[in-house]
Amino acid sequence: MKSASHLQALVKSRSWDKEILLWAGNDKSLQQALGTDTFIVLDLLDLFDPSNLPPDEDATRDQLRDRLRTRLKEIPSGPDNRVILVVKSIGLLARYSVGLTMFYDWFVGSFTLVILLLEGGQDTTDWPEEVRCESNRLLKYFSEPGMVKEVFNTNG
Amino acid sequence: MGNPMRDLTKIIKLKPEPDLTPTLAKIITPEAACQTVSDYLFTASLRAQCKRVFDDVINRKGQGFWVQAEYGAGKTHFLGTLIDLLVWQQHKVWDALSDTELKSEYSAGLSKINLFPVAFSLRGMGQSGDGDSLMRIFEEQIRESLKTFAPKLEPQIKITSAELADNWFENEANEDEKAAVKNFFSREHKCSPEEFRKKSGPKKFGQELVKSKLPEGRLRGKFKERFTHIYDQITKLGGYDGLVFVVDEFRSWQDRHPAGTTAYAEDEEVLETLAFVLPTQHLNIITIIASQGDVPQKLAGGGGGDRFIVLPLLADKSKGDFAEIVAFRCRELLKGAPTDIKDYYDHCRKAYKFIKQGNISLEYFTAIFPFQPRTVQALRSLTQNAEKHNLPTARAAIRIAWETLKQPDILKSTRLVVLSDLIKSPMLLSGLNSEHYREAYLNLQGAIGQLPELELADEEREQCEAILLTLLLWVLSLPDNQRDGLTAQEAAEATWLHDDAVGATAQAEHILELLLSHGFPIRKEKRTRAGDEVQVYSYETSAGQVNPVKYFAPLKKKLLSEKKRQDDKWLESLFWQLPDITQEAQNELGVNGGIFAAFAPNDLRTAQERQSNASPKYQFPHRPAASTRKLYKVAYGGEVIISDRWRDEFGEDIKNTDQHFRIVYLVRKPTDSDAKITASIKETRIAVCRPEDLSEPTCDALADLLAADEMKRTCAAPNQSSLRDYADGKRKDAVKTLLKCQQDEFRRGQILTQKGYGIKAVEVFATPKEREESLAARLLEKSYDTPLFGPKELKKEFTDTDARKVFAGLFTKEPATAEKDAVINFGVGLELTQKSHPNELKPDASQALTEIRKELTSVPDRPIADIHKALCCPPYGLTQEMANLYLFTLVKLGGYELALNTASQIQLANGKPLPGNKLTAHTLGLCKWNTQMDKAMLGARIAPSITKGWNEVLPYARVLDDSLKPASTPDEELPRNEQLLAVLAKLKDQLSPVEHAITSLADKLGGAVPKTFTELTARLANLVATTSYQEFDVVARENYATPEKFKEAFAEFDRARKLRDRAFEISQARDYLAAACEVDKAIELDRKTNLAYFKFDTLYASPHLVPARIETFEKWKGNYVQAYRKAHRAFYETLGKIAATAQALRPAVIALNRLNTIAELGPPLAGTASLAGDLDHLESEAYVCLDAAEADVAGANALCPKCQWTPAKPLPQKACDRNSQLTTQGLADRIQRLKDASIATILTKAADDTKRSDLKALLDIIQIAAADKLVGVITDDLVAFLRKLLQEANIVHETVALRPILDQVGAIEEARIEEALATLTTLLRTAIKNAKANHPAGKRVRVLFNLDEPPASE
Repeated sequence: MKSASHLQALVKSRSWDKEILLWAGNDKSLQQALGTDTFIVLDLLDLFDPSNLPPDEDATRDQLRDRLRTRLKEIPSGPDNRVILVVKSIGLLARYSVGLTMFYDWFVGSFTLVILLLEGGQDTTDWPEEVRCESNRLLKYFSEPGMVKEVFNTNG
Repeated sequence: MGNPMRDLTKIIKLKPEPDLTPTLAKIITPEAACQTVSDYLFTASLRAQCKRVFDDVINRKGQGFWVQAEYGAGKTHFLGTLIDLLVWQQHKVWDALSDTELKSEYSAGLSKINLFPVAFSLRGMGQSGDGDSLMRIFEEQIRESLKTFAPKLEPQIKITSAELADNWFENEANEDEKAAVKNFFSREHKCSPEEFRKKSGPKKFGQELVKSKLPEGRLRGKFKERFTHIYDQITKLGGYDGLVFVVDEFRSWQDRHPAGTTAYAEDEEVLETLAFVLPTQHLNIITIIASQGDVPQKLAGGGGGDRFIVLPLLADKSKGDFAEIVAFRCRELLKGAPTDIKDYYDHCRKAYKFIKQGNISLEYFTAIFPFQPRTVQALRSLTQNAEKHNLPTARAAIRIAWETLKQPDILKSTRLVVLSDLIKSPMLLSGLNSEHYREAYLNLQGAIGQLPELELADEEREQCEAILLTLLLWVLSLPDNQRDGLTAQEAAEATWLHDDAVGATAQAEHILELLLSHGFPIRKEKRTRAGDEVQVYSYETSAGQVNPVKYFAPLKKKLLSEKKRQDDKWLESLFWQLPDITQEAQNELGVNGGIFAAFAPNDLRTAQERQSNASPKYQFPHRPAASTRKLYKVAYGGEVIISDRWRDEFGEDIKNTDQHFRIVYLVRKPTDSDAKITASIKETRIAVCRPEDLSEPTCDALADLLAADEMKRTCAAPNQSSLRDYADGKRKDAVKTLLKCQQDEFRRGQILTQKGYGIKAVEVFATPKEREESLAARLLEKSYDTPLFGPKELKKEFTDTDARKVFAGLFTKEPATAEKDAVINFGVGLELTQKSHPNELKPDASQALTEIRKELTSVPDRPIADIHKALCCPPYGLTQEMANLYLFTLVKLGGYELALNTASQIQLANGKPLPGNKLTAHTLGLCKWNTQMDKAMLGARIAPSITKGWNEVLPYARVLDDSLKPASTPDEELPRNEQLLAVLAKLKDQLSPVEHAITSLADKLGGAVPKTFTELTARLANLVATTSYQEFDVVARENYATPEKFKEAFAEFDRARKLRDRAFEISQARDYLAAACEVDKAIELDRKTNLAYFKFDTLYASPHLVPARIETFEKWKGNYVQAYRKAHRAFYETLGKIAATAQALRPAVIALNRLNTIAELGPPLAGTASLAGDLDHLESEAYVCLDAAEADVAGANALCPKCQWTPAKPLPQKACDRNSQLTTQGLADRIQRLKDASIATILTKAADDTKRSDLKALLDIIQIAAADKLVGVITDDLVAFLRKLLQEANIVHETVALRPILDQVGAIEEARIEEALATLTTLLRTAIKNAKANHPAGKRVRVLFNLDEPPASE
């Protein structure tokens, strides 16, 4: 895990190299780390219409993938328009087996960078004995080979 | 002439910032396809890789390909381009392809093939938990591709188990099965299947069916079945010829699945099914996988790429691609660039050495222009390892190069881009700030910061900085284990240093010494370059580090006691290959590997064991392919056995007649005694070599080697480079010592033979080369002491292949030169020919034939195997091929024939089968000795036969074709006759064209055809008209008394024929020379000399001079083309300026012409009346040639075909100057006239009256006499106005009051009309007379009457 200063150095680069990063921390700490750099926020929950939710898991997955692809293709970028995209509610990507393909296929490049925001830390819920909570399950999932390139947090 | 090189802006254009992170999904869309293809550069090696794929596609042959390359090397772009070319043909992608070779070879072929594409990247596709399944991903991606590429087909294709189950229920299930399904849904979901399907959809329904297990066995559960089913549906329903699967980023998927896991096994099985299993069942499936990693062992196949063929990108063999790709992606060459690049090339060749030293061609120089070769070489190394250096290969290099070229000062310069320029790239700076380089880069910044302390001039300080940068980047570009620097000359070249006073190298040396003497981090060392000792300078990136001996010594001590590891290393070292040893050891010891490198057994370690650096595993005894050794200049096949212990079977008899010796190497001292081993040897042709127990120096070297390897592994931190360097040094020394020790250990050992020949190991192992040769020679020398041929007469070493050549040379109709040479080289030694006639079969003295005949005396019909057994053994020493050759000779001589194995039918040269599969003297020459013949010889028998021999026209016929052979029987006369007639027919065809060509050429070159030639052609015309060899003989003898005279005469025709062959080139060269103009005095002189070379008489007499003449011409032409193009370009650059001046003059001339039309201002200034016409003429003269940048004179035209320019064409500079001057003077003259007081007054008044702004502007211009400003003011309207104004200046208007006059006339009655009119007339005349009196004479006065106003004068 790398520190906020490493993230700052990276986002200031003139060009990037298919970067999908993960920020393990809250929204505020990420904003502090990004400082004056402007960014776009995409909350994956916003891709759904609350009044017309898909009926089952397969449909949810298909809708998430289709709408995410459409949304990512709509974001303009180029040498004169570098884009940092902060993605929220990323648990949906794991839950519905969408993975990061859409970001790798349709968004990240030389002038586009994605930061996945993984909020929530220690689980404080008092679970029954027979229930075990893997609080770092998502972190492990996104850190696996082929997923994000680097993981950052405030202290490194 | 000064610096001939133009600045880079005139030669190259920076391309838009390249997109270097393409994604497969984006670049294979139809919208992006053309751009993707046009952006891709197919270098020679990439083209070859692409062809391998296309060949299989065109041949409809399924195959797997594994595209392997570093991160950022361009795998995705390669895949995208392939897919686009295969799939988007209707979008004209082939038009966007710049590679003409691929286009011409594959465009048409591929247009007939319709493949269904499934292309995707695996990156980011991971599932949570253990849910990864490659098969599932393939199914999903096939579905996605159907939606994208074939939406109409998509609903018809069933892919997943659920879909298949649903389809089964709908279309395949019988009544009983449907009843079972009904029962299941009734029990589980309390509804009928139809209701469930309607409510939940077919997918859920299918999933439930799968869960029920009722359709089990019908769902094509195995990968092979499933893919076959999908393939069948898509190809049959969609009309596709096959499927192409392209999978990018496989490494990211591989990394998720360690070997041994279920997912790993599934990955392997899925890929094997697609790339191997299905193609072998004739399913046309092309599978292309791109990965940074190696192809898994199982998928690599048993060789020949039968599973996945590996296509490496930017690998060692194709590393030259890198520079070309980098340059191609950054810039485009402007029109005419080749001329300028050649200037740069010539300059570099003269001023520097890197062109010659690097053997850099103009073509390569152009391909990487404007980068200096060392720049791209270093860039390649700096970006070689993405993981280590954070600079991903080609991607980073292209960006660095682009960012460097983007600097305006670089593009405006007249030099190549050098290493120190790269530092201007933000990408490189970012890389230098990465962990691996940061320390060194900070060191450099510190050094540059100290430069002001040297108090140097600005230019010299910049040179110091450039050299520091260059040295640092060069050092960083070298591998960790390599330390090298640059000589002063190389540093001067790499920084494009120049100093007119002392020269670049001396200046570089001065700067380097200056930096050294002031303590800058530069190291000076001695190195050897091309055998010479030189001083090299390198950047010192690391300060003193810990003492390496402290690391090394304890390791060595430990390893000295580990005998097992030493033994393993010893064994491994015996089989080292060239890459395993050092260059130094190779040079010093003259070895290319370990002592048994040539006989290395397969290493049986698994991939994991290799990765963990485990000792190699070998299986003994190892019997490498038969070895060939020479004795009596004959190559004898034999056997080498490598073993770790003695076995009695090694001493058994040699049974194969094609094996003549056996050498057994024992890798360590055996436990059996020498006496026991000797007793087990049953043959004189067997030798056993065994070493002694390992000596102390050997054990010491082994411990050194092991310790060095371990130290290198453990000291891997970036700041431990000096420790690694130390370990490297130790390793190098140990390798060298060990290689020496290998020889020593075997020298100290023994060589055991049956009869105790006393062969000394010290002698056999004296040198690393020709060991087996020497040993086998000693064995065979003693065994084969009665050779049945003359070894001393063999001019070269005789191999099995040579036996076949001798066969062809002696027996076939038209042997190749090599085959004829073989007869000359070996015929005498084999006793098949005689010294006096070395190319004719005369085996009178052959001992082997005598011996064979002896063998056949008692039993004339025998298997040839009997002959082999009798002669291919001690003491005769014939090889099997030699024995066969003698058997063939026996057949050729007549009396015997060979009954070949009927199972292997031989075909004659005319395509017919060999009658009875029997070789006779007649048919031998029509056969080839090839593998088919070898098969036919297995089990062949030799038996008696009868043959005959032939004619005397041959000496004459051979004048026309010396390959004509004698006929040994009357039967052969017919084919010989046919051959001769064919030769005559060929000659007949040539006769007229040669005659015509020679006449034309003589005419062109101003010569005359010799009479002898005319006579010769007439005689030859008679000869070629003959219809048989008998007729030919008669006509030939009539015309030429002897064959020699005929030969002499025909030689003239041969010369003419040679001249005809080059006549076109000669004519073209002559025309070119005649048309060329004088662009340079030296070139003109050479032109005249060249012209003199093309004289008909000389070339006719000596056609062998033609190539030299053409070569001299081509050399001259090269210089001429370059000089002409530059002069042509320079002329039109100046002419362009004149044209611009003429164009700029046009408005002024128009203004002047308009002013000249105002006649009231007086006649135009002399010469200005025709200015418009003059200017038209000038503009027409100043027309710039369309090919001004680069005249097309490299082909057949010596002058630019567009403009026919020669230096004699003058520039219209004088006409331009004259027009310019006249225009200025003419305008000044008109202004002067307008300035005239009276006219000015008129104009001023008119301006005041009319308020015309243009008139006011005119007045202002007149006031300051600014002729150039007239242009914008003088319009046709203003000119018309001025004319009118000036004309009207001569008219006077008077107003006369009518009322007083009428008052005087008074009232009128009818009777007084006449009187009143007379009074009125008188009064009017008086009034007008009075008005005119107010004005000077000559004015026209116009009177107006006014009833109300009092009379007033103007």
